[in-house]
Amino acid sequence: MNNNNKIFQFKLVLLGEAAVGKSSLVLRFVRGHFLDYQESTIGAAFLAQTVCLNDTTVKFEIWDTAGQERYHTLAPMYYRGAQAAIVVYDIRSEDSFERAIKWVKELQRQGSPNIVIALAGNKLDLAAKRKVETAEAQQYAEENGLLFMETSAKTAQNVNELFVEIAKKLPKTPTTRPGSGRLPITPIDNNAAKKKTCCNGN
Amino acid sequence: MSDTTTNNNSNSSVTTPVTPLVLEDENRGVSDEAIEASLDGLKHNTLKTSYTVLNTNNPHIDVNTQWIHNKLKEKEPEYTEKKNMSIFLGTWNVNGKKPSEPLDLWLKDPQMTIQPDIYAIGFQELDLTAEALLLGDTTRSLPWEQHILSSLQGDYVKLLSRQLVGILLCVYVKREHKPHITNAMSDIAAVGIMGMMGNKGGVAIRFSFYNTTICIINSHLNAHLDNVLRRNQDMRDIAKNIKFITDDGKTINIYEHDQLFWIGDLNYRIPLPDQEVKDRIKKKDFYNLFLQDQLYTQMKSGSAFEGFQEPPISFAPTYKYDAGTDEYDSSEKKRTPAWCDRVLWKTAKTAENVGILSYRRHELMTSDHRPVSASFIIKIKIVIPEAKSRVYQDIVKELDKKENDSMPDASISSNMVDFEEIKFMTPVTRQIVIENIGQVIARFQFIPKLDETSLCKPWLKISPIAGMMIPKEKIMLELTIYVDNLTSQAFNVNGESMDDILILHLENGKDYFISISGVFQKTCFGNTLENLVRYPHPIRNNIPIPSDQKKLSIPKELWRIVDYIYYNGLKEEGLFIESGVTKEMELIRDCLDSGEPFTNITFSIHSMAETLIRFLESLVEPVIPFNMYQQALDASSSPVSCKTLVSHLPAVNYNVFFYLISFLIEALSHNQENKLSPDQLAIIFSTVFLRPSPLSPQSQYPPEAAIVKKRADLILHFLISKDLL
Repeated sequence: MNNNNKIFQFKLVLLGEAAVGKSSLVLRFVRGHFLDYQESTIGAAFLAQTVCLNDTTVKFEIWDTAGQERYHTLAPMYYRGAQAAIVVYDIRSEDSFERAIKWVKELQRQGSPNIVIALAGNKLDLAAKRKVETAEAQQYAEENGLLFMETSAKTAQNVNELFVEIAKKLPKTPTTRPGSGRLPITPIDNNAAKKKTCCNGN
Repeated sequence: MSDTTTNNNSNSSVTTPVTPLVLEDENRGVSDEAIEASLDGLKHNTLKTSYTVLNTNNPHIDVNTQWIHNKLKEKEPEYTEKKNMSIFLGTWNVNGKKPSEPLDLWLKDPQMTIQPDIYAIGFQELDLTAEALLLGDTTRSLPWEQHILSSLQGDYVKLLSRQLVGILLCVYVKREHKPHITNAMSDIAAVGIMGMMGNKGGVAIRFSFYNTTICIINSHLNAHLDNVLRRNQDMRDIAKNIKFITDDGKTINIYEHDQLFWIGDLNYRIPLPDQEVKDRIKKKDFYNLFLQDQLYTQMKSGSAFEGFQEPPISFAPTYKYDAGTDEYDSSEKKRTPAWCDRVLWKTAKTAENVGILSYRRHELMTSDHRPVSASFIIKIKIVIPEAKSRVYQDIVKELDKKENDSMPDASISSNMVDFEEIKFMTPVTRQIVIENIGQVIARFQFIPKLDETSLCKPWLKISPIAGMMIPKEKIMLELTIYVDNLTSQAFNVNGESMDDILILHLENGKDYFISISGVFQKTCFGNTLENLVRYPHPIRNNIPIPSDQKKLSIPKELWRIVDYIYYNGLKEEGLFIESGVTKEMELIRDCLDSGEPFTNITFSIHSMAETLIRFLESLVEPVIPFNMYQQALDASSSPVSCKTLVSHLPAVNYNVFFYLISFLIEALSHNQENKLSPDQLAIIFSTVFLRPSPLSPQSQYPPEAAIVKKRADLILHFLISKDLL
C-alpha cells in the first residue's frame, strides 16, 4: 500500500565556512522561513525533518554546525556517525569553495564509510556577484561522487530538492536504526567525564 | 477437550493443508507420515509462538511509524471514497456427499440482480472419512472447489481457501478487485472431541478489500437439541482462538475488522414438538417458529453471538431432509426440522453497517441440509492515493513541527569568556547566565570533546557542570581559572596559551560552545630550575635564551631572595618559623617576575623568608628530583652516602643545593640572634628539597614520622658537617 511504509532515520550534518548559509538552509527546509539576519551558530543546532518519497519516508536528524574556524576541531563530534552531509559554500566566495573542498576531503577521510555528501552552492539569489562558476563546482562534484546543487535559502530555490535528492540516494536497508541519535545525559564528574557516547552508537 | 488451533502466520494466498493433532493411541493404525505431519504442525506452532515473543520483546519497536499509521487510520475518511460493493455468503452442510448436481440454483440464482464482488462459500461435513479427520486429507475439497468455480458467472478468481476436516471456506473475488486485496490470511480453530462426533470448529479468512477489512468465519458447531450451551461455548472458543498474525508480528482477532461475517451449520434447533414445527412450516408461520429458535433466544439473552445480527428469516428450516427429496426426516430418529444453517454479521462501530440484499435457502437436494445464502451491500472504502499522500505528509509535517517545538532551547549570555590577566595561585571567576527560552524543561550538562575524558583544561573549574531549568528560568554558571603548582608548568615551561572551548549540551537538543581565554602571567613559581636558569631577564614578557647559550648557574630569583635575606634578616628571630603575609608575598612574587626592585614595596622579612620556602615548594620538580627520592631516603642514615647522592644531582640542582645549604649554614652562625637550630632548619627545608612525585602513591598520604626524620637527617648532615659539601 502506498505510503504505508517504514520510516528510515538518518543523521545529516551541515558543514562549511562561517556565514555561507548553513543555518538558513536548515531553517528554510525545516521551518519554511528565512531571516535576513541569521545569528551565527556557536555550537551545534539540532532539528528533525521528514521527507516523503514515493515509496519510502526518510527522517533526517539534522545537525547544523558552527562554521567558524576556531571550532573546526569540534566538527568530528557531529559528523561522526552521520550518514549524510551537506557541505555548503557561498557562490560569491572562492575561499568558501576552497574550504568546502577541504571539508569534503575530511569527510571522505574520516567520515562514515558510505556517507552521502552533497555540495551546495548557496546564495543563488545573489548570482550577480558570483565568483564560483557552476561548471567548476559541478565538475568537482562529479569527480568526487557528490550530489551537487546551487541553492538559495532566501528564495527557497532547490532547498527541498536538495534534501529530497539526498533522501533518495541514502540506502534504505533494514539495518537503518530507528531512534534518536542525540546525546543522552549521563552523570559525569568534573574533569573526569565518561567518554561521550556519540551518535548512532559509535 | 483438545484444542488444536494452528495459525497460518504467513500472508499467503495458497491453501495450507492443516494437520489436526493426532491424540489417539496408535492402535488405530495411524501412519508414520501422519505422526510426522502432526509433529510438523506442532513445530509450526512452537515457531510461531517464539516469533511472537521475539517481536513483543523487540526494544526497537518503531513507535513513530506506529503513531503515524494510527493517525493515518483516524483520518481515513479524508482520503477515501465509499463505493457500494456486494458480498455473497453461502453455507451448505453436504453430509459427506460428493458434488452431483449443478450449483446454479444456489450460486447463480436468477433472482440475484447484481453480480457479487465477493463470494464466500462455506461447507460443512464435506468429508466424513477417517482420512480427513486423522490425516488432514483435503483432497475431497478439490471437486467442490472446481464445481463452485465452474458455477460462478463472470470473471472470478480464488482469493483463498482453508479447510479443517469437513469444514471448508473458499473466497472468490472478481478479477478486477484482486490487485486491491492485501493481507489475505486464514486461520482455523477446532473444538469438540475428535473421533467421537466428527470434528467441529471453525475456519476463518480475513483480508483487506481496498481499505475495508473483512473477516469471514465458517463454523460447524456441536449438534443435538440439548447442546445449546455447548454450541454457545463452541462459538466463543472459535472466536477467541482464531487469530491472524501480520507481517510485522501484530496479532489481529476476528473483531478487529470493519465487517465480520459468521456462517455455517450452527446447529441451533427449535425446541418444540416435531408435529407442531411441521404444522407451522406448512402454514409458513415462520415468524412464530422463529421466536422459539434456539439461536434467536440465545442471541436475545446475550448468551452467544453478542453484537451479531441476522437478516430476517422468511424460509423454511433447512434441516433435516431425506436426501434427494423434499421430505423432512422420515427415519426412526425423526429429527425435528431446524434452521441449522445460518448467516450472521457484525459491523464494527467505526464502520458503516451493511445493507441486506437477500437471505434465502436454495433447493439443492444432494444433502440432508439445504444450502443457504445471504447477500449484502458493503460500503467499501477506496483510497484516493493523492489525497492519502497529502494527509500522510501533513501528519508527518505536524509531527516534525511538534518534535522540533518540543526541543529544549536556551540562550547563553556569552559564548566568549575572556579572563584577561591570570596570575599564579590567584583564582579568577567569571559568570555566564543561561536561560531556558524554550517551551519545555531544559536539562543541560557540559560534555567532553570527542575522544576526551575531561570537560575542560585542568586549570578551569565549572560549577555546576549539569542542571535543569524550567521554562524562563535562568541559571548562573561560574567559571573559575586557578593556576597552581601542578597546572602552571603548561604555561611557564611549555609555553601553552591559555584557552579552551567548553561544550554545553542540552538534552535532546543543541550544543553551545563557550570559548575561554586568558593571558597567564608567566612566573618563576611553578617552574623548573632547568627552565629558570635560561632567563637572564625577568621571566614575565621574556622568552628563554636558546639552549646553546650560557645559562645562569642558579635562578636569579633565588639569588634575589637569598641575597635580600642575607643583607636584611639573617639575625631576625623566628626567621623561617614565623609566617609571612599573603598580600606581601604576592607583591614580592610580582617583583621577582617583573624584575622590579624590592625597594618599591614594603613587607616584613618573614614574608620574604616564606617566599623562599614557597618558591622551592612550587618547583615542578624539587631540588632533589623525584627519581632520586627513594635513593635519598635510603642514603639519609649515612653522611657519606648523602654526599655521594648530592654529587649525582644535575648541575643546576647541585648548584642550588650547594647555594642554599651554604646560606643556611650562614644563617645558623647567627643563632645567637635568630635562635635557629640545625634541626629546625633541616625539617623545614627537607620538606621542600625532598618530596615524592605527586603521581606516586607516597604523595597520597602525609608522610610517616620515620620518613620525615630520614628527609631531615639528609639535610642535617650537611648543616652540621661543613666539609660534606
